[in-house]
Amino acid sequence: MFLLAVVLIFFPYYNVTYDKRAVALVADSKGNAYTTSLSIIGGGGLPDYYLNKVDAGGHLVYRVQVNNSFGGVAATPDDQGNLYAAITGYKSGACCLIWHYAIKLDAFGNLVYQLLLRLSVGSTVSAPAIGTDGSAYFTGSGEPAAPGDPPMTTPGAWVTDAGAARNHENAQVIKISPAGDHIVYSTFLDNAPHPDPNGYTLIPTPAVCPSQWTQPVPRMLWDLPVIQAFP
Amino acid sequence: MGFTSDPGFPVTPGVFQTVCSCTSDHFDYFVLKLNPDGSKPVYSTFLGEKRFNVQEPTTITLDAQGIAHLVTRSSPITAQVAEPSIRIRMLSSTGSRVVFDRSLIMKTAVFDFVADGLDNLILSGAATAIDAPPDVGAFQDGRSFAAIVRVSDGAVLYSARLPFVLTAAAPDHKGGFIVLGGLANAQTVDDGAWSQVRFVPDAVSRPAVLAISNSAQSFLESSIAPGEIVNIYWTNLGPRPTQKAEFDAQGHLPFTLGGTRVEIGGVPAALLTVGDQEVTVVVPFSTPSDDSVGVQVTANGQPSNTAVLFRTAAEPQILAPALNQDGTLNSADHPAGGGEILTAFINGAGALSPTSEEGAAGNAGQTIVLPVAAVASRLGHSPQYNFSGPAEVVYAGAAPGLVGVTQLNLKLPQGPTSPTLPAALMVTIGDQSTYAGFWMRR
Repeated sequence: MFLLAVVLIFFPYYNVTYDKRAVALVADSKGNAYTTSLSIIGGGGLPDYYLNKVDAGGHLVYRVQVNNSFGGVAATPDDQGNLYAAITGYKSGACCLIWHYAIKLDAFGNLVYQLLLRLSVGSTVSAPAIGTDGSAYFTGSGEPAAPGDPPMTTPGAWVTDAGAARNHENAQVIKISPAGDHIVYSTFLDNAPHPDPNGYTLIPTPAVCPSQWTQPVPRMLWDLPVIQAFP
Repeated sequence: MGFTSDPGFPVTPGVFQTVCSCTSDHFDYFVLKLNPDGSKPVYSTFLGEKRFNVQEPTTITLDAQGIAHLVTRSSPITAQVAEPSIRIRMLSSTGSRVVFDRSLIMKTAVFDFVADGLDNLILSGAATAIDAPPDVGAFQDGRSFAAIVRVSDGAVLYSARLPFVLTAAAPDHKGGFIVLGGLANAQTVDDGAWSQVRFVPDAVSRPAVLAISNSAQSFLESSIAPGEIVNIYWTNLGPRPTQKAEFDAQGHLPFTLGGTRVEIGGVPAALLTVGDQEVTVVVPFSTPSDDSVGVQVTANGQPSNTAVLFRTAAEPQILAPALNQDGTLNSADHPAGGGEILTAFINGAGALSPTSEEGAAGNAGQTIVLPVAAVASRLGHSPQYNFSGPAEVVYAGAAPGLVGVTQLNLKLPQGPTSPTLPAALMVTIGDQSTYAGFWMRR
C-alpha cells in the first residue's frame, strides 16, 4: 500500500515566460530529490536551467540557476548529497560557440568545482557517473582535436589517438578527481568514427579540454537565487 | 554502455559477444569496463543486438558483485520488434556471460523507466502504455501511470494512475518513488505549476490529497478562490460508493457527509459529493485571505496531508453551455443574436456582496465584488466573419438557487455579418480571465 507523503512543490518563475518546465528527476539514497527545470524569459530566446534540491520531506534545499545553459543540464547525486552535473551552454564572450561544463555542488548548493569542457557542437549532455570516492566520470562523443588544439587524453590512457576521423564523433571517458583539481584519466574508446556511449555510466557528454581543466571559467555561470519552498 | 556502428570497435577475449552485429546503418550495443587508471579495459563486449534506433533510454547499474544490470528499451520504430518493450539483461562481472535476460512488453511506446538497483524498475508514462490495472486502493482515473515492476519475474508490485502529466519518475531509494508532473491538461505544460510528489509504502490506508481542480474544467489548479466549487483528488477521501449531499431543512449543505469533512484554511467547507477518490466542495467565503491556504480532508476521523495552494480573489471558469435570451441552451441550432442577452454561469467568481452564508444557495441581489468585464469575438478568419466587441455586463451576481455558482447577464455586441458562427467569450473578473465558446448569429 502506497500513500502520499509529500505534495506540491511549485516552481514559480519570475517575469513573463512562455515555457517553463521541470524536465528531469533523480534521487539520492537519503530520499533527497534533484530536479532540473528550465525557463524561457520574455517570450523567446534561450532557456535558463535550474538545479533544484528538495529533501525527503518536500522542503526546498536550494535552487541554483545555470545561465545560458540552453543545451540542457543532466545531473547525478552521490550519497553525501553532492550533485554533479554536465551542462551545455554558450561560452562567455563567444556567443556562437557551444561549450560544455562540469560542475559539482555540495549538499547545500555551494560550488565545489566548475570545469570547462571541450567544444562539441551537437552533443547532448547526460548525467555523469559517480564513484564511491566522489570521482566523477563524464562521457561523451566529441570530435578529435584539430592540429594545435590541446590534447584530449592523458598520457598512458587506453586510447590516445582519435584517428583520422575528423567530423565524426568519438567516444570518450574522463575521470575527474573528487575535488575537481585534476584529471585521473581521459581516454577515447575507439579511434574509428561513430562509437557513441550511451547509458548510465556512459551517457553522451562532451569531451574535456585538458588545458583548461584546472582553471575555473572566468565568468560565473550562475547566481544563486534560493527561493523558499512553497509554502 | 554505448552503441557503435564500428565493427572494429575493440573488444577483449573471452567476452560474451566479440562480433559486432552492426552495419553501416545499424548499431550494436557495447559494454566496456575500464580499469581504475583508464589504461586498459577490464572487458569490452558487444551485446549482439542489431538496432536501427538506439536513441532510446538505457540504464546500466553495477551491483555489489560487479554484475552489470542493463536495461534498454525497444519501440515500434525499431524494425526488430513489433511491440514496445523493456529488455533487462545482467552481464557477469567478467563480461563473459549474460546471466539474466527478460523482456517486458508494453502497450505503447509512451513510457519511460528507471532502475533502482534493487531488482525494481520504476515505470511511468501515459496511462495507455501499461496493461497493469491500478491497484485496489490506488488512484484509478488519470492520464498518467506510475508502477513498480520487479525485474526478476516481471511482477507488477504497484500500479497507480496519476491525474497530471508526468515528466519523470525516480526511485527514492527508500522503497518508494518520486514523480514530477505538470498541473495541466495538455501534454505540454506552460503554466509553471509543477508538482513533485513522493510516494512511500505504508501498511495503513489513510486519506491523502494530491490535486485539486475547478469543477468547471479538468485542469488541475495551484490556486483556489472563495466560493469556488473544487474537486479534491486522490485516495481514501470518503465512502464507496460516492454520496451526494442534500440541502437540510434550513437550506444548507452539510459540512460532514459519509464520515468525510474538509477544511480549507481551517474553515469547514460545504460538501457537494464525497467519494473514495474525489470530493467536491465549496471553498468557504470566509477562507482566510492569506497568500496560501491548506486543504485537508478528514475521513472517518483520519486526517489527510495538507495540500497547500495559493489563495486568489477569483479563479473563474465559465460553465458551458450558456443560456440564450429566450431561455434555450446556446448551441449551433440555437445561436445568440447580436444585441441579445446571453447568460453565462461562472464558477470561482470570488466574494459576493452581501456575502453568502456558507453552504447556502445564492440570492438575486448578491453581486460579484470584483470588477467584471466581458468581450465577445471571432478573430483570425476572413474579415466578413470577424468581429469583436465588449459585452455589456447587465448583471453579475449570485445565480439564485445555486451554490458556488455566479451568473452573468451579458448584452452581446453586434456579431458577424454572416450566418451562425462559433465565437469566443472572454470574461475577466478582477485580474483573472476565462474563455469559452458559444454560437452567435447575425
